[in-house]
Amino acid sequence: MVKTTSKDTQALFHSLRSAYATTPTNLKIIDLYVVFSVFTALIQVVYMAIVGSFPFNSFLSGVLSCIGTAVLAVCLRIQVNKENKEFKDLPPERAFADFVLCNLVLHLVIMNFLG
Amino acid sequence: MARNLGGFLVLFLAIAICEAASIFQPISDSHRSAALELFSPTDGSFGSLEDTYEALRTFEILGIKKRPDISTASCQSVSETLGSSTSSLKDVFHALKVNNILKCKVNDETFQGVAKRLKAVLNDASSLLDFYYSIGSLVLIKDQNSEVDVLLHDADGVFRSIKALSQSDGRWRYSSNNPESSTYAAGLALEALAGTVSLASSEIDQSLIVTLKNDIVKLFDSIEKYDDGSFYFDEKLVDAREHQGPLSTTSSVVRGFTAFASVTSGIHFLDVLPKSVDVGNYKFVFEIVLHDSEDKNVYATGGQTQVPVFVTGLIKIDNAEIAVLDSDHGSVETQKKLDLAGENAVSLSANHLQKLRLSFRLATPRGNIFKPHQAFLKLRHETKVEHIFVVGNSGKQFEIILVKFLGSTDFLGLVEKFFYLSGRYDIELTVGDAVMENSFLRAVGHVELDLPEAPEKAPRPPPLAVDPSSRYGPKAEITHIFRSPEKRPPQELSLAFLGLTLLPLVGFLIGVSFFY
Amino acid sequence: MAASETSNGTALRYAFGNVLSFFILLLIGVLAFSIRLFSVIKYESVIHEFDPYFNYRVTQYLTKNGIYDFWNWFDDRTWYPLGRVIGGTVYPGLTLTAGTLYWILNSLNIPLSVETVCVFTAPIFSAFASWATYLLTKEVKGAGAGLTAAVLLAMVPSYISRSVAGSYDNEAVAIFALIFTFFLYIKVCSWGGYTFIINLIPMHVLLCIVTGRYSSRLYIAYAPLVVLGTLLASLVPVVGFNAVLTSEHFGSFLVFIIIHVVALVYYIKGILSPKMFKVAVTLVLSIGLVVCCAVIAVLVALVASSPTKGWSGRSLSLLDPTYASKYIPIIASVSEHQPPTWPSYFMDINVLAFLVPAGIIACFSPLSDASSFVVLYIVTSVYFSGVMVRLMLVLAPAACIMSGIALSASFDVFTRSIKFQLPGVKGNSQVDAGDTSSEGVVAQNEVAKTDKNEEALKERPSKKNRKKEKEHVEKPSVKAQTKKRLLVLPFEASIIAILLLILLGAFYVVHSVWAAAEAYSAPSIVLTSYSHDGLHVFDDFREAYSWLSHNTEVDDKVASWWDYGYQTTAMANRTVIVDNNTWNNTHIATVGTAMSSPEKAAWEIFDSLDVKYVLVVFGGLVGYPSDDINKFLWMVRIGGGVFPHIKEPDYLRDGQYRIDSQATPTMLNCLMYKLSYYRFVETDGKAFDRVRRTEIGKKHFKLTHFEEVFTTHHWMVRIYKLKPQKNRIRGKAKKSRSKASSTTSTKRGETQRKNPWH
Repeated sequence: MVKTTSKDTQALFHSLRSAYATTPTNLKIIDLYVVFSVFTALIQVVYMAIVGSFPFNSFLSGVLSCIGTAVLAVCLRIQVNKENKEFKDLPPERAFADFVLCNLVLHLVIMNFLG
Repeated sequence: MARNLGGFLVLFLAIAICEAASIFQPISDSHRSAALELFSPTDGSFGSLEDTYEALRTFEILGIKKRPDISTASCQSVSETLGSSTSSLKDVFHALKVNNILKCKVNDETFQGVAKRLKAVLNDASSLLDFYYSIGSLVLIKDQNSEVDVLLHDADGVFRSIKALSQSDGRWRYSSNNPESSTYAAGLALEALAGTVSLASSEIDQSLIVTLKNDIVKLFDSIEKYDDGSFYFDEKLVDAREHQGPLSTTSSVVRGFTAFASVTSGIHFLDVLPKSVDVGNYKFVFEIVLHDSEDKNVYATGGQTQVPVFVTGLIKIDNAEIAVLDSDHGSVETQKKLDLAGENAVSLSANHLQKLRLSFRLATPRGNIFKPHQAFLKLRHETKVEHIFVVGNSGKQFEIILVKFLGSTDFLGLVEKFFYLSGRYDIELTVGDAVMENSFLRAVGHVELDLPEAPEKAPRPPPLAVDPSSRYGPKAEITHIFRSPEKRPPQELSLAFLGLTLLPLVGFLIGVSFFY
Repeated sequence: MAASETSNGTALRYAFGNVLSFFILLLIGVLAFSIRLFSVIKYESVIHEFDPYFNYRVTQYLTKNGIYDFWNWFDDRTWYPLGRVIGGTVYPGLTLTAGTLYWILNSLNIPLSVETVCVFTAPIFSAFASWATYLLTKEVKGAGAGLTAAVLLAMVPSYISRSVAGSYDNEAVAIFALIFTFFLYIKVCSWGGYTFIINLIPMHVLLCIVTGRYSSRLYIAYAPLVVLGTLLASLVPVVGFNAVLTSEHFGSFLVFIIIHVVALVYYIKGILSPKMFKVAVTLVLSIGLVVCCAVIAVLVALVASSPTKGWSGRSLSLLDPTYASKYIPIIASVSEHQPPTWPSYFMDINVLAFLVPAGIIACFSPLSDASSFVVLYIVTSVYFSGVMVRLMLVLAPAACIMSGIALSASFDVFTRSIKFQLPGVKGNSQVDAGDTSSEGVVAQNEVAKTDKNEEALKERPSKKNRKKEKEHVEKPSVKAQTKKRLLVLPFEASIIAILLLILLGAFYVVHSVWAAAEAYSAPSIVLTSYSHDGLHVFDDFREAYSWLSHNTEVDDKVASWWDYGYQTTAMANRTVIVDNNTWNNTHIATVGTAMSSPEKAAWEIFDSLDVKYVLVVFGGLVGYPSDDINKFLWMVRIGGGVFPHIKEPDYLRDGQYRIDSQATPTMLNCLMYKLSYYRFVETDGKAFDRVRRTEIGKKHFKLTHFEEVFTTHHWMVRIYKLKPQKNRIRGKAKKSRSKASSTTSTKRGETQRKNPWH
């Protein structure tokens, strides 16, 4: 039972890796960016857990800016993904413009909130 | 004219006495200690001779015996001042005044020298103060040393030159080239003129004195009155350089006037005070009673002036004792002598069947019995409930008997008045009167009272009166509570995490470069 | 050629339909605006009631001092001596809207006063709201339903009651914002009641996920919304950190996490073969279950450990209708916070109540994202309106939308069956546009809308979602039409049904106009009454406030029950102790205690608060029922809640509240009784109270610590002044002495001087 599970797991990872390998490079870069922001957010949460959340607005704006960029990057990824049928007619330039605009709004708010 | 002056005198006395009456307070130790505090010498002397004189004179008036010993230093300063030929007139004047009190040893030559110098000054003096100081000094020298020749040969001339400074309204100018006139200066001038008269070698021209009296009449036109009726003089120009307050102005005028009156022989001394005058309040009644019955047809009299006079003195207290008595027989259980002049701390204990007796005797210096205006006994419980009893007198003895802290029926009141509060009561005795110089409020000691339990319907003690100083006085300071600053992590930790947040960025950059 | 001609004709007809619907909308706007002007016509252009006066004052401040001063405004004229931070405790949406409106008008050189702008803000925004309803309903069920819903909303009594001219309150703008937000699917956070919105949208997302309607568009619509919305909400001072700290907002975060998980699952599903996906699912499930349980346990423990379970009082009273009356008398004392009765449902939404179920059914055939959202909206709002009368207002738009859908659907069916049976149109059924009926426009617009969607609405991701749905719907609807032809109702029945529907609509219109004209247009500061000798106008409130502003010092403090706080600060410009912003229960309880205490104790309380005047509202002479005597038990309750020496039973005789000769001595001696009935017996000799319909218990009495300074014409407002404290002889002597010593240098001849040596 355990053996089959581990075997399945191995097979799963293998197929995951092979499936992911076919992803275009630009999408991979976006994925990397998402991972980067999520990790930054996690580090801040760990820091908060250690020393407490005193300047709460700073903590909030730090974490939310990371999560916000991650979410926006995911949106960008969904929109520029060629395989995604729903957004066939959407030019990637427009998606990127949306991304930049949303980031601009997000960080304006973040800066305001930072205090 | 003399009658006129006499009228002034009466008026004047009225002023002085009214003033005295309204501010009358017996001179007490508090005044003395205040004076001692005010005039405390540094290095055995006061700053200037003027200060020295003021201090000495104050001590003299207040009857302070234990004044600080300054005579050596002051006498030295006096003889130096008098010996020097350059010392100012004012210093000489005050030196002589100090000498008047201290009776320093000054030799005749010094006096001679000073007198000569003063006369020289007097000959060509022009300002009022020069006249005042030099004539005043000469008068003082005359009093202190009879050997010295201080008589003025040209008294009329001096008189005229002082008189030249007078104004039509009775005021005086300080000098001929100073147009400002002053009431205070009028007092100085009168004093100087009186001195001139007394120093004159020959009789002063009477017409001069008559005109001067007219001036005085004019001066009195400007007298003013406080709301309580007392009169005073004040300067017309309040912004004058050497402005004096109403008190010093008035006293200057009074001094000058009395001096002048005494030398012009217009004053009468009432010397009929009976020998039996003792401490107490008296009332002088001024009334004109016509001697001849014929005059009654010619003159009409009326009016009466009454002046209260206080004669104060030290009251002797003796036979003071406090005792707890057994109620039934009046037998003494405990008895303590008291020294009401000093401190006492008797401690007694009594129960509700006993009496407390406090007695003392007051006598005037002449040995008469003295009845003070106030004689109170105060018992204060620990809970600050107070009871005040009036100490009655029975002829010679002052005595209070707090009868039976509990009686069968009639005397229940006292226990009820005490609200059935057992425990320690502090005893305080107050004896006071306006003419008693040693009025006192003294803690005598305490008594432990053992009272029965309060019955159901016993009255409750009244709520304590709020201390006015706590009600209207400054409130306790409010200590503000500030929020404690938030705890901050150690800087190293924060920096470490700052570095850590950079790691994903580095990873991201490496990853990106890996793709290209 | 023929084909192009027909397409030309359809294009023309579409254009015609568009123009027609535009004019209909314009008329709806005019209707919505003008039906709310009854109050201005019947009374005058004044601000109504209580809260609007505060909003008016804030707007005045904003227009006078600018936005920065407004944010930092600390108001020291209220809640004396505490003051109130207005900038941080007020939902700024309404004020900023009206302020902007005023600013625009003035920069266009239209010199309207702030008051005028405030009075007409609500009608203007109800016109906007009906347009927004049109847009929203059009998304759900097409333009016909949209127009119907817009008409219904323009005159739904519930909404009219909150938005007549002069009713310058948050609701006026909030309803527009609510509908428009739903329409845009974008959160608006600065208006009151926003928690409703932020919870409704996550619920809808959750519903979509559960019903298998997840798409990446949903993710794109929702995920950035949560992050940006939360941040923007935190920027509003009133909300602040609450946006991430209170349970009201946790729902959206939970859904945020869920949507991420779902997105990940869908993504992995997409790149893996089905077999491998199954393996992955079993693996993740077994691990994930354990983690989930742990996380949920921690969350539950956290929420449970906080005293109110993380929910604020007002929201708790939403979920548990008995919560407020049990724990917070100050919330329970407001009549708006009571649960509504059935008549009030009929009064406020009228026939819509019967049309809503039909609308719900119509929404389910077929169910789209948009219609499911509307269904969700109606269900939740019906629940909430059952809790509080005030939330009836949220129900009204939902009911309008539902009824609009129902009405237009039934019209659709009936006219279609009529058309089918009419001989003239029989063959022409493919182009089924009715020539005259407005329903024809509906059908056209339904087609036109898809075109419009493609051109104009591309930018909005949330829109696209629906557009696609519509495309799906559109295709089968053509087929369905042929099917529908078979489901024809009898001709006569259709005619009668249409007539009945028109009758129903007419009834609704009549009722709404009546409600607007009679029931809801009274401004409550000016009252009228009809009697046998004609119309009486009671303008006592303004009389009293203007007396205060003309006859008292600027810094005098006026105490009254909190209902009149906003009006006093706004109209009399005097400092008040408490006002309608009931943020400090203790302070209100202090005033309540003073009102329920005997005269001397009350004087001491008021004196300690530096109060100069006390204002009471008394309706006994003219029969005005909402006066202070009727509110008095709430004062006792609120006061007693904080100061236990005030006990409610002391004021009740055998559990009954009465002020006649049977009343308790505590009642007859309390300040409120005395101030209300002082000298009342002089009016008619019997002291008959027309509100309580009885003679009062104690008729002849005197006031020792208060003196009457003003009573309005109809005795509705009575103002008393606190008598000054008695002078102390000692203090007086001291004063004169210090004065005497300071006069030594004064000019002579002025007065006789005091002897300073005395």
